[in-house]
Amino acid sequence: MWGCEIRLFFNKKNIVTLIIGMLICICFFAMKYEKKYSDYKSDRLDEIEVENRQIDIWIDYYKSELESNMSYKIAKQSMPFRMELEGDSQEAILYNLWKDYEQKNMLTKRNLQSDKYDEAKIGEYDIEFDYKLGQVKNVGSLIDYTKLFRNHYDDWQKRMVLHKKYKDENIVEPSVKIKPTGSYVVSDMISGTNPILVTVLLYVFLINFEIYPSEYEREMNVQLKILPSNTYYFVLRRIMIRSICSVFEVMLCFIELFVLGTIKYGSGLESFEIVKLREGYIAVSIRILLLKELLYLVLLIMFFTTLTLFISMWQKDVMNSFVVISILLMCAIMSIGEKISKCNPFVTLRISEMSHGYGKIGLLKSGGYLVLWSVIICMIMMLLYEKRED
Amino acid sequence: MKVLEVNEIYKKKDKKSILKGISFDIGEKEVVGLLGPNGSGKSTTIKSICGLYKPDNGTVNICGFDVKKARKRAMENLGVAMENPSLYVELTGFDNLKMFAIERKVSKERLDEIIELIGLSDNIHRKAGTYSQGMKMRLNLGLAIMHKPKLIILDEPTNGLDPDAVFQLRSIIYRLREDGSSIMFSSHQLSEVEKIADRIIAIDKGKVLSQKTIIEIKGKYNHLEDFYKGLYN
Repeated sequence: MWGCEIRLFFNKKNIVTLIIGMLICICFFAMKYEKKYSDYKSDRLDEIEVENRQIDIWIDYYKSELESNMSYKIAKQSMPFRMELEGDSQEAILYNLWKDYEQKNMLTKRNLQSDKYDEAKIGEYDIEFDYKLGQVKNVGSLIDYTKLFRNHYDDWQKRMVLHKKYKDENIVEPSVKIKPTGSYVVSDMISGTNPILVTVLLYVFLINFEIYPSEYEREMNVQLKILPSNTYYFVLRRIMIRSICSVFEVMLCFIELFVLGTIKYGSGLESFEIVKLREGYIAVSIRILLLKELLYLVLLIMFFTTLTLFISMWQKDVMNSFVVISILLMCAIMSIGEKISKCNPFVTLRISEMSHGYGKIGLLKSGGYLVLWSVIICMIMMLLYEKRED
Repeated sequence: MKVLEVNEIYKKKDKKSILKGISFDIGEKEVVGLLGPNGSGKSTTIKSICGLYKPDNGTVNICGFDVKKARKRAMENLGVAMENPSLYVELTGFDNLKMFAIERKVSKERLDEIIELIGLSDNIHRKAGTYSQGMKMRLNLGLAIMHKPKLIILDEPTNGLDPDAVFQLRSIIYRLREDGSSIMFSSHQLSEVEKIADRIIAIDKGKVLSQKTIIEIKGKYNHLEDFYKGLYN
């Protein structure tokens, strides 16, 4: 009966859905990731223009601050291009850093505009500047507000951890973070900050929602219930097979994305990602992170398959099942921005936070909750199937 | 030994009494027709026998096994073909049979025998969704009889069948009786009931109105139809 259950899963509808899903993945890869990467040059140039306006403001500000300082006037006579004072003042350090920022942007812009654009150089300029930012001893709200740290001070700290990790491992740090390597694309897709995750859950619903309503419609439940076997067994077997098959279909789509990215841009498996722990940031290999995210995704798919089967068994009707699932999905989407609650399984959509340890719950606990919820729903299904009079 | 014993079963659904003390039994190798107008409680009776409904009172024994207390043993002796053929239309006829054959521990030889008996040898590897109504009914019957149950329940088996299919059904039922099974079937086709059944059980408004053999009925009435009219009008 296992073989028949698998054949029931891989019906025409599900095979067509899989093919459409894989085509959507190809389109998504091309239209989102590849396009973003191909627009990198122009987007980066636009960013530089905006940054340069800010840089000008702050250079003028700190220059005027220094000009009011007598020591500056004396130093300027001896070293007109650099402010190097004995015991550099915060203003002097910041003035020099803004000048370096300006210099960095100029070099980057020149590189981007040249015919022989060198992607690696962009990374080198950024890393060099990041190391210089270490001179800033006191980071107050004013300095953080200025985005000197290329966003916030926190972001700079993360970048420094990453730079040091690559340096220690003697690996060339990727210059363009949005390059659609295999691992980057897959990791971004399942990070939970991407609407594709909700699409995955909807996909899982589409491939599982009809089995119980169609059985009730054709009174197959009669034939199954008069079998001498325990009815709990039928429910459990169906959940197991459908969960595994759903995971298989979803993974096929992600494997496709990984292969597409790897063929064109490399696997990116040698790179690192930042994880926030209680004690601070650490750099973790993307391989480990991907494994965790994929494991978590597997648990999420299994949970959602169980939930879909439960709702369709409970409702016995396709349209009603669809309405209930849609309501649940909307709650899920709305809860993405909410404070994490241990009782809400839908916060588990924030996979990146779970796997990166950002959330209060963390991967182990949230994975555990998914398993627990799945088991509870499975038990309810068994009871419902056994006790309900159809 | 009684193959089926239904003892004073009562059943309420949505606060409405559907069955009010139904009692009857079926002996070995007996073909019994269950008659009654729509809403008389035939389907509820059948579902209570199958264990799909749990009676509020009373017991149902199949080959001496209580359906509630010894469900597994009772179900081993029961085969059911409901009015709507219970099939997975996405699977082939063979896959549908095989699925249940594995659960019922039916051998491959028996499976081949059943396919031959129900006359689907040429079409068994086609998807069940492409079958005609008659073919679906025959496949449904195959599911019900593959494990040689002592009791076979057929709910409206002649619905939607052409005359040829009805003749085939009749010969299958005779064959099953010869092989040692008892059959209970519900039908509105009184002419068929008259031809096939040994005995009829007439129910109405959840109660058994009459239990008579066909010989007894024919002794008093020309046709079963006259008996039916006298009983229900």
